[in-house]
Amino acid sequence: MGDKIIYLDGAMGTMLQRNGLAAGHSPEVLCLTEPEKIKAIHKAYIDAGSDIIYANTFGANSYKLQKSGESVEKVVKAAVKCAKDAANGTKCKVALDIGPIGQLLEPYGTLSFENAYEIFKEMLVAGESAGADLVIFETMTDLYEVKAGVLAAKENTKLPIYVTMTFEQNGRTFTGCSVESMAMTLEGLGVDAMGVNCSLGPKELMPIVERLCNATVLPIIVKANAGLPDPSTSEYDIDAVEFAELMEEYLSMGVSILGGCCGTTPEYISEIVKRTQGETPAKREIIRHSEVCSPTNVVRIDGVRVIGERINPTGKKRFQQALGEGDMDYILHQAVEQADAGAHILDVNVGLPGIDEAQMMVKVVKAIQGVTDLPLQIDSTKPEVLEAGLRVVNGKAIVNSVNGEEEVLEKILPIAKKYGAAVVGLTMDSNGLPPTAEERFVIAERIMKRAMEYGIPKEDVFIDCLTLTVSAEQDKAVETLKAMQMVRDNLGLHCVLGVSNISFGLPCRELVTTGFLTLAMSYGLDMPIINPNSLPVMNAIRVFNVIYNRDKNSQEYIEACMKMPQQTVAANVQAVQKTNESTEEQPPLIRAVEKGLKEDCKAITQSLLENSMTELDIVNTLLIPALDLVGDRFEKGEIFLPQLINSAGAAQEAFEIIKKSIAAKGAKSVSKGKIIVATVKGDIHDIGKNIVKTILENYGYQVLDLGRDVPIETVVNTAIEQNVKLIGLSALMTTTLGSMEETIKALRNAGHDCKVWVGGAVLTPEYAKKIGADFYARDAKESVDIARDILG
Amino acid sequence: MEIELSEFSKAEVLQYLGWRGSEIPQNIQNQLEECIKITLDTVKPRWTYKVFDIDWQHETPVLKEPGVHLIGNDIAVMLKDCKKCVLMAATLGADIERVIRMAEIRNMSNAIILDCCGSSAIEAVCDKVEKEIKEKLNIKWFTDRFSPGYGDMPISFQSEMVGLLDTQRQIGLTLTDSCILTPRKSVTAIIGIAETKQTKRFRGCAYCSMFENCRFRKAGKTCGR
Repeated sequence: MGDKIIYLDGAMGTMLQRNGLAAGHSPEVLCLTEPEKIKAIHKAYIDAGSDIIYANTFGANSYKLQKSGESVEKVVKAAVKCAKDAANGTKCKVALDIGPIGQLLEPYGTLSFENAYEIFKEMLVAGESAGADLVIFETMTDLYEVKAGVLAAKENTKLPIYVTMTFEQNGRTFTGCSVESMAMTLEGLGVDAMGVNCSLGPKELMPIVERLCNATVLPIIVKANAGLPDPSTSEYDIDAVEFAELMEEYLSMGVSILGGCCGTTPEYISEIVKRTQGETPAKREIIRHSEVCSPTNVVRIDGVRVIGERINPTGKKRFQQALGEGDMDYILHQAVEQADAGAHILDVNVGLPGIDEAQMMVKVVKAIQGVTDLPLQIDSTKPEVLEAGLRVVNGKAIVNSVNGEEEVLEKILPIAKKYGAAVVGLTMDSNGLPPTAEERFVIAERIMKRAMEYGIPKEDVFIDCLTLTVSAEQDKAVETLKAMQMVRDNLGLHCVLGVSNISFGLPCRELVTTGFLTLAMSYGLDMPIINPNSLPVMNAIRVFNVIYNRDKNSQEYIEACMKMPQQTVAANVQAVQKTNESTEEQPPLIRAVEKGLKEDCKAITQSLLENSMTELDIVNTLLIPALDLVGDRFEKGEIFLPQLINSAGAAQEAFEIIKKSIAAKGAKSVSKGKIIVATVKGDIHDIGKNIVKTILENYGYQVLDLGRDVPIETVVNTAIEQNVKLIGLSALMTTTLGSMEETIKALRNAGHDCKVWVGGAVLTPEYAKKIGADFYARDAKESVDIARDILG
Repeated sequence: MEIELSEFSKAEVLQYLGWRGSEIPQNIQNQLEECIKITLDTVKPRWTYKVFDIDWQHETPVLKEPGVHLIGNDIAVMLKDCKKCVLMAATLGADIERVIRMAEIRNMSNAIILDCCGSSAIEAVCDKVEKEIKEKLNIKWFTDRFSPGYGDMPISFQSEMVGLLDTQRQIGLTLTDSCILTPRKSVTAIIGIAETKQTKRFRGCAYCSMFENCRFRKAGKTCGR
């Protein structure tokens, strides 16, 4: 790094305009129609001194080329040929240029990660076989899209990979990706160089590039615009000489790959070359940190970082039930709740006998990424599950876990390396967990060395010294503490530990867990895997941070104290008391639902159960009448939507307690029957569907929510596999009614005996009939009426 | 380009929520205020525009430079006094989307209110943008804002709008196969530059002929126009 400057080219679009080539929808097609003119542009850049030129393939992907009627292979090959012909006889290299696909990826768009991969793969394979020397992904704003592209390049070609992303002045891309997240994720994925292009001029990009210089050891690329554009004339405000002056400053920051983006021409490149030729970019000193990230959130391990343990079915009947039923909402609720409680990282474990764990991991990881920005820890013993999860993680994750067994290390370390993940090493091997601290330390050291041999940097190795239940092996708890101290002091590694195991089998577990946690932190534990929803646990960490002078001026501690819910206990007691003294005409639970009081609903339901009212009686004599009452008032316009939904939410809390109670008894659920709801393929407006789901669940139906943009075959297959007799479809756009019709048709063709009801703003009862639906529902209330008709 | 948004219409939010004049209890008022605040704190409005000459071919307005036909009778009627028009696009960005999704998990009624706040906020952004363009280009009379999907202009015209304005590069705005703009809380629109004062025809629920019976509004949503 840093020896020699590499010069890239300048803008293609600007040159096309100057040469009077109408841009139209796909300027890439010009390589077929006007190859000589394209070649001339490349030639001009080569003459100006470019070491690498970008083939005119920016938008030559199958999505953007659709309208042109040309194939990706044909356009990419023609474009690479133009560039190669121009470079013929020179040392100039030709890059396959890949821009954004043009559609937003999941979770906020409809393009799946896997489809993005395929789209890039097609371009990459064509580009390599046409003779491109490297690939450059540029003008990227979505880290997830870049990851799909980099994996496609790594897995299907041997091309070196450069990536430049486009940042706004605030140091983030349009999708919120930060400079540091880009650096960490792409370095982990093993690209060859990275940097920034477009959006801003060399002056404005400087603070962004400065941050990048501190975040990666890789060569850095700067391809700036010719200043800022005048929106009315589209002219840029910096000339070639000034541009070169500013670009020269980047050398002292340690940037080694220079070029121009919008508004730059061969003149700009030739000025840079003239000005900087023979200079040496400064050497950069990088301090490496232990860090993980999502695109928008970097978590550095420079203090106690809480890993939330709740997304894990082990020993949790309710969670197992949710996994078995594919109840994503329950799982997401666990994610959001932990995030709100102060977790920094979320552990994700979906191991349950009888489910396809890899497939479930993908589904859960993608869903969690849609609702929180916390980095993830992928937790499984199976390499294929770890790989499936790491593949779809957006950002840098942690692998949980490897241990000292050579066979495990050989299988899992290469996977962690491939996806740039950090890794947790358990200090045990085929002989089990050694009793003494010294033996555990030996395994820790072995894991660290093996990881480093696989190219995983030391700071990405975390050690879990493991703890047994203190009630079973009382003399071993101290060994765990000692082992952590040794790992911290002698290896300089961070320690992970599943803390709550310690208290198993003892009364008042929280006391033991919290006490052990406090001790463990002083012995080197800085990544406890715990339940962040436990206030005593989180408080122990806050106090630790005060005592160890990490929480300056006790600020976080004081803030947390202010927020502590001192009132809740009293309020709940009051609510419980109310259950027995129904002074008003309505029973308290009905009143609580009507007013949308969640905490009251919980407490009252709990108390009713304790007073031996059956789950079914609570549902039938209190909850459903309450909902009917609220539904009635809604229809009459006495209350409006937010109130209706607040009531539904309150009833939901009561249901959750009832479900837990039933799951604990191992009894059959109170379900009145299964219903599928889905927002049809192509449509992403799902709030209406979610309202219907909430209300249906309130009435005791088991709702299989297939989500939004649901493929036709998913609806059909789920209906058949789960034998569902009632299916609700929603669509909100005229453009997606077609796919609603096709879904209904497919259900009929499959011969599955079921009724279909439809809803959504653009539908009418007549149209519903026309496309073959059995019923039309105007709103959630009517959907309930239909369900009652069909399922009772 | 970026633009600051400091307020949007609460009345519009209530309209989208299907409010029919019932008494709003204090806790719901608080909830509304909180959601409005969250929305204002979360959105990152960005916008872009271009001015095009209109080439009238018989009764059809055609954007001169790229040679793109503006489809439908309604747009022709709206632009009848115009020789130029503005194409604009604006988005609240993807952050509000994540906030709405998180709210769906935490508290569904907040999610619904936030969704309606988003719809109202993007309208407010468009109003601001329109005003800014008007001042910048020293324009006296604008027509209404007309978006693909209005009247008889097909929603598929979104793909021309997105292409002509290069919205992905400019403001991070893309289109799905079903012609849904993503991020979802986004608008593209055509505004005519006229020589004379224009009558109001379109724009927002209040001007929509469906206002009385609209199922979007009843369900607390908008059709996005």
